[in-house]
Amino acid sequence: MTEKDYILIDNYLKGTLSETEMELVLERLKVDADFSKQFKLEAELFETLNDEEWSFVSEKSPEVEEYKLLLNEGGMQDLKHTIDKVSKQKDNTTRKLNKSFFYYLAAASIVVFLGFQLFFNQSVSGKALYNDYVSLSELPSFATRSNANEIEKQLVNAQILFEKKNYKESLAIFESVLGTESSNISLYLYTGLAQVELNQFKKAEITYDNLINNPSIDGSMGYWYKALLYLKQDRLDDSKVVLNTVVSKKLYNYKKAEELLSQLNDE
Amino acid sequence: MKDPNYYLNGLINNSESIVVEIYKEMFPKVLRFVVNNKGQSLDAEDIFQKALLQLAVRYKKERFTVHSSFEAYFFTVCKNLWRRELNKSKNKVTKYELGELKDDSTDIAMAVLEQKRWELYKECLELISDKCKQVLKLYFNKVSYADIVNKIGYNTETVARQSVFKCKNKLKQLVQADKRFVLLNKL
Repeated sequence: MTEKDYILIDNYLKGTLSETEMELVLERLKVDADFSKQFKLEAELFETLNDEEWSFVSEKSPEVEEYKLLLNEGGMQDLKHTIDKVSKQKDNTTRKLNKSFFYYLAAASIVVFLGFQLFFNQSVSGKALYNDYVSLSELPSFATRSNANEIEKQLVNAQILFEKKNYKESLAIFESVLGTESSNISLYLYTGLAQVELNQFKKAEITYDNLINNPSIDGSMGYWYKALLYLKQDRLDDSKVVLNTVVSKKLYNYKKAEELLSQLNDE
Repeated sequence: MKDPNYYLNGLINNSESIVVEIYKEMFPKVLRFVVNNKGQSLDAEDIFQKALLQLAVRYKKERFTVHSSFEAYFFTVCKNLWRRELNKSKNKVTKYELGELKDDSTDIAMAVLEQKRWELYKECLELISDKCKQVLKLYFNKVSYADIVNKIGYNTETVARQSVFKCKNKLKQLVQADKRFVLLNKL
């Protein structure tokens, strides 16, 4: 090994060689054992001690095999299950908290609503009914396995934003993904609901119509949400028409639709 | 936090309460780190689980000693795993076979060895003189020789080059003399 060789390796690792020079280095690695050994060590040092890089081992190393065997044994598999379980419980506790808090709010809002009804004999407020029935906390989750692809990761992020009531930013993501992933039913729901929260009622209506026209069997969920959208705008008669469709065809949430209809008709 | 062995024994004995404890104490910190470094919450979860398994399998095989607090050590392992993850996706022309998706156990097994090597190199770096350490840290992070001259106060780039060369040789000697190096390189 000459000083020149070290400089060559140096420049290779820093990525400053031309393509021809790089090929020469790769060629030399095949034929020159000493050069190859030095190169390996230099590369390991460089990749390990550079804060941005990482030095990978060969998966063919015998020690990799030893650890693999251990990892696939019962003991480690049991631990894996425990970790899985704890991780899921952790998610559930946050979710449960959200849910019970939501139920509390829902119950409170019904009490307030009934109070108004009794004392002021006011007409039914579509907005209040919307809030009572929309159940934002019961929406399907985008959370997937650890090896989620880029789009799935984006959706999880958007869902988090949505749950934090950052509807504007979450909608931007949902709308952009919806352009390419037209088969994902949950995506329509989140998009529509975020649009409603941002008072983009016309857009929300289009979203729900697209959902209804979606060939998937779950596309009919769009009727329920469209009925709620009309409620939100106090278009009670329009809402009743859609709710009647939900009930007569026994679509998604038809029991709730019945209940809602009876409240609207009581008025 | 308690003695590192308390956690490591808990892991190899499949103690749910200890897993819960580690999650409680450590997950928020790891999550914050990953999210602040180009990652998402799912990545943090993935890294966290791999770190737990990595420590468990390594401890099961060799009962290694953690010299710092468990918290600090675990966080370092997570940071390295995230660095590893970020480098997986880099398209680099090296002689290593990267890029394909490995099954989890191969991935964790490889990460154990890589973490061990990382610890060896870091420890050896701590054994050389302060001046050498300072020069090499700059060099490994791709600071140009011209900038090294300015930062350390050498007279010329040639002097800087020679200094890097000497310090790196010292480091290589220490690494190669360590019995862990021999073990890591047997094929």
